[in-house]
Amino acid sequence: MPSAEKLDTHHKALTLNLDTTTFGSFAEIGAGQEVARWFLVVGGASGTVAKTISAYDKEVSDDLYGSGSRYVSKQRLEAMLDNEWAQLLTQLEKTRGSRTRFFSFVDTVSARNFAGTNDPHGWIGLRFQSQPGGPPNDVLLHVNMLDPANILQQEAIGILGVNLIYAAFYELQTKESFLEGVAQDVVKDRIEIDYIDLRGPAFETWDRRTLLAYLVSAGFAEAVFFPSKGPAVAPTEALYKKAVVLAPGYFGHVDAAHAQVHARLLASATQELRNELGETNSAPAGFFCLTAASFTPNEPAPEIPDLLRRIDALLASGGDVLLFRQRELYHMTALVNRYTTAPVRFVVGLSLIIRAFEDLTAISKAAVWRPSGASSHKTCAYTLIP
Amino acid sequence: MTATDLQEWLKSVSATGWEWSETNGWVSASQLRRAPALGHLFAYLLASNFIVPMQAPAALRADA
Repeated sequence: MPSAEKLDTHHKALTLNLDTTTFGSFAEIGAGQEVARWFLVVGGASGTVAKTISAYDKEVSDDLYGSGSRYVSKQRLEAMLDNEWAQLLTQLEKTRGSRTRFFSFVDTVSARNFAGTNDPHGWIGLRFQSQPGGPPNDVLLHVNMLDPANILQQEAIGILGVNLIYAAFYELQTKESFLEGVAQDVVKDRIEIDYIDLRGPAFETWDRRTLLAYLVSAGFAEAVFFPSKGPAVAPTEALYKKAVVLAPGYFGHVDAAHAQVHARLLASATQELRNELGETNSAPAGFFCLTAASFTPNEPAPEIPDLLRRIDALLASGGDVLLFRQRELYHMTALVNRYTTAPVRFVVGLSLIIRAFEDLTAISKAAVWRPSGASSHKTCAYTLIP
Repeated sequence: MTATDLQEWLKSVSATGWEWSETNGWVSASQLRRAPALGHLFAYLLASNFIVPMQAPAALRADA
């Protein structure tokens, strides 16, 4: 049985190993086999580890999980989950299914390369049973690794993986307890979680949009993405290599008339950037930008229901939304610049321009006015008459 | 932003030193002026296209 006290990674892995009801497989690509390693080194691994595998070679990976998807992608992660889970049940369900809560842990990660030229990120997934013989539940995460060295990123993935398995079996009481368990000792400083998808009966009462907003408000992510069409994706997929127009604001008026104004504001600026870039470039993407931080320093941070009310109104107008952890525009620029070197533009009303001029502190900090490499005009602001 | 809204908003935040002209009741960034010294910065940002004014459609009137 797990202890009520807060355990470190070693004790979490050991607790799982000593729990005779949990048993599963590990498939890890791209950052060593750091999650399985914890279970193998703490003792009692035979009580938990059915199999570990790292299909590191692309041809081997394709042979096991199918070809056609990128190697570090949600599609590859889901293929790994399906394959490993089917194999686990085929091999073990008959002999120990009545007393075992099976799980398959998978990850596909691009850790920092030798030259430091890649974007260290990855997908992490867990399929598990809450009860022996019960239906499977899935947790899918997209993570960004922040450590400056490959070996540290591997280590962080190891801790996060143990946290995830432990939280799935012992910390599902509330979404807060689950996410805090997943994040323990590693998220914020070393890893960001900017996407989460939960499936299965263990999570049926949890609202996915609330969870996404929670990732930002709890500081687990710099930003999360809410698309107006289709399922949610990680910000990297929405921003990758795109020219971008950002429309920051509070967007407190959620009536139809204001929604129309907001939609026209973003559409006009996106068209302006399209004109600027010419037809040869791919179409720019426009995003409404909200912040989970307080609007002014003296106010409390907005509650998640209030954020979702404003986000829903913007989505209904047909616009995609990025929810940022911080309110300053230079933080928004920094986040977008992780994923694209194409031009970034802000579209703002005159009120925001004037507010910036009235706040000399804001001017001195705002990268929107003086981005690095300013002569290239990568970042500037459109002012729009809504 | 409409000239009326701009005037109200400036009052609400106690901002001073801003002047503007308007077209059909609308004000764009290119029609906005600030007293020096910040006015020099504002003019520079406009002239160097760090701030790109967008114009209201000619047919659009603020009182429409």
